Amino acid sequence: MFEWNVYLIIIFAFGGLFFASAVAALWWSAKNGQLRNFDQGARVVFTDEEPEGIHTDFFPGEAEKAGRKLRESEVR
Amino acid sequence: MSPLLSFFSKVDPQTKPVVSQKVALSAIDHQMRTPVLLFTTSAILWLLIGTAFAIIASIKLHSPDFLGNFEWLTFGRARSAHLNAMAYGWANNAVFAVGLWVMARLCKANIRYGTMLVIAGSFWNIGVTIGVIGILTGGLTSVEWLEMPPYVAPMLAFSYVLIAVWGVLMFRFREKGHVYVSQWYILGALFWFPWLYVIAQTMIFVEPATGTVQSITNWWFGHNVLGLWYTPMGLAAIYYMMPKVLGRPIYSYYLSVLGFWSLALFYNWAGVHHLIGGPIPVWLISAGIVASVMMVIPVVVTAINHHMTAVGNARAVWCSPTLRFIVFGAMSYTLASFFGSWMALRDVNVVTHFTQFTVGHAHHGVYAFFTMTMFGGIYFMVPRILQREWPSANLIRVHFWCVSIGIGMMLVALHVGGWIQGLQLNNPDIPYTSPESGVVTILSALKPWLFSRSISGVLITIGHVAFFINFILMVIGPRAVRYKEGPTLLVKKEGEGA
Repeated sequence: MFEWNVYLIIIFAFGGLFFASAVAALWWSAKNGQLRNFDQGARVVFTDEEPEGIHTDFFPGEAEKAGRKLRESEVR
Repeated sequence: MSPLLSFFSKVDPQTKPVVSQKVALSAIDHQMRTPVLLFTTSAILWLLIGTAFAIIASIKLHSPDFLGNFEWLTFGRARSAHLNAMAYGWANNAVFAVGLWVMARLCKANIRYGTMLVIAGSFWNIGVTIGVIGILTGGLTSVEWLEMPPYVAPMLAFSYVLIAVWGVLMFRFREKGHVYVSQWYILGALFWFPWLYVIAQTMIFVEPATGTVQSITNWWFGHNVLGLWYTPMGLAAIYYMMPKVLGRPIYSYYLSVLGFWSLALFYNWAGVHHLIGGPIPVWLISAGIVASVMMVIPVVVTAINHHMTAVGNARAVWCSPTLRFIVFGAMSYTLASFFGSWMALRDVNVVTHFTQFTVGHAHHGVYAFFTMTMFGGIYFMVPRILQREWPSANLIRVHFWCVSIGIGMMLVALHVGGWIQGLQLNNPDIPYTSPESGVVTILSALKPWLFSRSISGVLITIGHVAFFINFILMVIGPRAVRYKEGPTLLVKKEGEGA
């Protein structure tokens, strides 16, 4: 329908919008305090049910054995 | 207020964010059970279907007579059915299951509109089924990554929009506080994919652009599906599972955030490197090459972070099915990304373009990184969703060893074979056919590598079948409940003992 360079401009416009949306999100994140206190931010994955310091995945039926080995290796 | 108005008032960015009470992970797991189970089951079924087409297509490359009497299984159709079953069937369903579950857990809020996910998931899978049947019956398009007939696009787009809206709503109703890096990755991916899909469909099929602009759009889409959809979802799973399983936070959270923002800002431009040597403006290709090389920054950042988090915990990684797959995926991400940046250089691309090297690279990214990561995610997620344990540790081991050896073998075969193929294609002294035997020289040199790829495919198939059997036994078999002990399932229902 259009000349090829018009389509190229359309593609670039969308590329620019992509970029602008990422910049807008970064600006929001900075304004919202998301880029501060990274140490605390890294720990939000842990909860009372799955706390920090505990391994939460072993092969089925082998948790006890693997846990013992892990403790032994930590002692060493 | 009508339900529709109420819905829009909740998603209106001008209104104050609705912050929910913190909800226990076990409650979120329970609420997500039906949609996650639907997506996971569909994903695993598509994985088996996609694998069957992969084996057929692979064998046909070195033994063209194989299944030669079935017109619906010609190489072009079997290969495209494989790609679409894996990309839109397996990968997208796995992303919907793992990505949305991680998002829900990090938002720590009650699940709303869960039925929306079930409806969207059902339509999505119906759409992919129609699309794959369309490919097999000859309705495929010639556009890579968009081979499904264009008439399924509205159904897929509609289903996807429902899923993305659900993800955004989940984010909006999250517990107030820090937005974890995995949430950023998932939110970004949910936003980027529909944009890519709708623009590509419009500019290639609905209102086709003229000439090579279609190719530019095609590769803008094709490459960004990997980089702005599968990659962020894979990294989100890694950044969630790795600290969770090890019980220690990520090594440098600062680096993980830096990695996300550099991906969000620069990845979009990289896709044009697929058209190096093509009839498009050179400056456009150069921009694509620069963006591809710039991707080294987020990759190095992510690699350092993954390595430093796992280092010193080799035994813990080995003892966990989840981390075996996740760490394999994380290492493959680093390697595949470096290869990608290197392949974007003109001097390298002149050898690798139009060869099996590119096919190897695609499997490096989508299988060795993304699929392995999703396997890890599913091994962690499903026991928590079902409150059951995996029935067989041995089947998990068979799965891990078969797919890791299989994909390793495939990558060596395709990279080495592809490189030799590229060097030979560029050498004018090599005749098209051998003067003695009359066979096509370069193809006959490639044959052992293609045969190795088929062998690796058989290994991978065994791994997938083991995974499927374990999953089905877990869902329907009483034995799966036997191992409800130890730290794999920390969350116990009342009265169920330790």
